[in-house]
Amino acid sequence: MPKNAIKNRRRRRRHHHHHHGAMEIGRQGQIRFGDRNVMVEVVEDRGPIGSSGRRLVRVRFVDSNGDESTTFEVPADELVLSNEKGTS
Amino acid sequence: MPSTALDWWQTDGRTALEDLRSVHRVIGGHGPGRRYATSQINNAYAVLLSSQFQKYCRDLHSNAADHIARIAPHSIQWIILARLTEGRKLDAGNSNPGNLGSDFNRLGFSFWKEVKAANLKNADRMNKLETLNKWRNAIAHHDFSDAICLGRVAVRLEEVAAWRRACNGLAAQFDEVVSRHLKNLTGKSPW
Repeated sequence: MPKNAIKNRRRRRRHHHHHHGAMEIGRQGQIRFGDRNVMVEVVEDRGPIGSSGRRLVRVRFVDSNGDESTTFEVPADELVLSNEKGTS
Repeated sequence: MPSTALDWWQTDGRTALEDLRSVHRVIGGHGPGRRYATSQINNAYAVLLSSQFQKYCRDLHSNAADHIARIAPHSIQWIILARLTEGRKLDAGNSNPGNLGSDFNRLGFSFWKEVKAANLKNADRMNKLETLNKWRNAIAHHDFSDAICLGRVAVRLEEVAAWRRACNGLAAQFDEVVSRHLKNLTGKSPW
């Protein structure tokens, strides 16, 4: 593939995606789970790879009711972030 | 139209692999010194290929899982996405056929059965992917006891080139097979 074609495809991809700020690793936030909120911590910012370019983040539970070793992905805009990294 | 994941594989992923491939070309000279240097580059090339393909597969899986989640009411979309990606093998292990089957089967179909049915070449490509990942583990853990290594401690350039062709073929096939499945499942083309 010619280099110009690669550059054009990259440009189109960046233009197409929604732009949100990068999600800091270790940042904590809450997510609505039924009638309560649960606390999660960002493990990885997956970027705008979701359906229609929505940003996904990989998180883990930080409260004692969840399995802290298991990670899963959620849409970034579902997270209500805490003010500071590593705090609730 | 390719998925975002395939688009990345065919642009940024390809560029990263080409950059390392070009280092091999510029090492000049003859003799054991050059052979040692190129052996190290070949091993690095194999590890990079494995990791780039793993990223492609993870991104494709996330994209597909999110497409399924989006057909649900907004309030439970994240729960579906979470369950489809929870403890995913591709997040911790490499993209060997076993891990790929385990993760993609969660999306509601028999992944390898569909991939093999899509193209006669895919069974051989799957075997090459298995070999690539065994070599990747041997190099990363510096343990060449696996029978696949045949007593060697370095891969050959032509082997990595063949694995890369297999990965290119599989990437395009995965995109098509997953897209077809998602369209059947949700009634909407995912990309």
